[in-house]
Amino acid sequence: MIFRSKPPIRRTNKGAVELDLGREERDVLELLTRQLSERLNEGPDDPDLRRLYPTAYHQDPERDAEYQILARSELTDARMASLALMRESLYGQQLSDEQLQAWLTTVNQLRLVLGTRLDIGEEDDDDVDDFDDPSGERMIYHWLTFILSLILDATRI
Amino acid sequence: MIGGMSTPTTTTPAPSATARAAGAATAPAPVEVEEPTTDIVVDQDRPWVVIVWNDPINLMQYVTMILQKLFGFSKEKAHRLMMDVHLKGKAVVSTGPRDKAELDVFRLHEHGLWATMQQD
Repeated sequence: MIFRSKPPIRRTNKGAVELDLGREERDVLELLTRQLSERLNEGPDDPDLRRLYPTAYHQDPERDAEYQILARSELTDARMASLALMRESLYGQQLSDEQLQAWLTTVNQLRLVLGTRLDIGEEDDDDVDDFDDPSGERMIYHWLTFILSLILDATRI
Repeated sequence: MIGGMSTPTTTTPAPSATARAAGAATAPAPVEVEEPTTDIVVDQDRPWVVIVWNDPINLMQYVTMILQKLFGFSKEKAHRLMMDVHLKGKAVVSTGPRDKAELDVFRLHEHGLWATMQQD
C-alpha cells in the first residue's frame, strides 16, 4: 500500500473518517498496541513508560507522591480504554469520532514510549542519521509521526 | 477522581490561652504581637498555575489540538500558547484553586503533555 493517491486516514466531504491503511500497516499497529497494553499491565515502573506518568508537583515531592498514588491507576485505566477502542477499530474501513480520538491518544502514547526508548532530543529532526537504526525503532517512530499527522488532520474539535 | 482529593493543609491557629489571658490582664494589648496567621491565609488564597513544558516528542500540532480540546481555547490562542511552550520552554495554560489545577494537570497528563502546577 505504498502507491496511494489519498491520505490513508482522512475525513471525507460527507464528514466520515475513512480508514484506508494497508493490511501490513494495520498489523504493525496491532503489534505495537498489543505490546503497549502488555507493558501498561505490568505497571508504571517501567522506565520506557516514564513519559506516560509525569510529575505534577515539581517543587513539592511530598504532594507529588500523593498525586502519583491517585493519578497512576487512573492514567493507566484511561490509556487502556483508548487502546482497547483503537484495537477494536484497527481493521475497519471507517472510524467514528470517538474511535478517532482513541487513535489520537494511543498513537501519541506509542510515540512517547518509542521516543523515550530512542532518547529523542530537541536536536532530533529529519537530518538525524536514520541509517543507524539496527532495531528499526526509529523508522517506526517516524512512521507513527506520519500516522499521527493524518489523525490530527482528520480530527474535528 | 483526582480533583476531589485535596484538603486544606493549613489552618488558622487560634491564639493560645496564655496569650488571651495576658491580653485580658493588661491593657492595651502590645502592638508588636506576632500574627503568624496572616501569611498562611494569603498563601491559601494564592492561585495555582498550571504550566505546560516544552518536550522534544510531542508534535506542535498535537499540543495545539489538545489545548483547544481541553480548555476550549480558540485555535489562535492555543497556537500562541503552544509557540510559547516551543520557543520559551513553557506556558501557563490555566490558573485557579488547587483542586481545579490538579484536575487540569491530570487531563494534560492523560493526553501525554508535560504539565506541572505550582502556587503563583
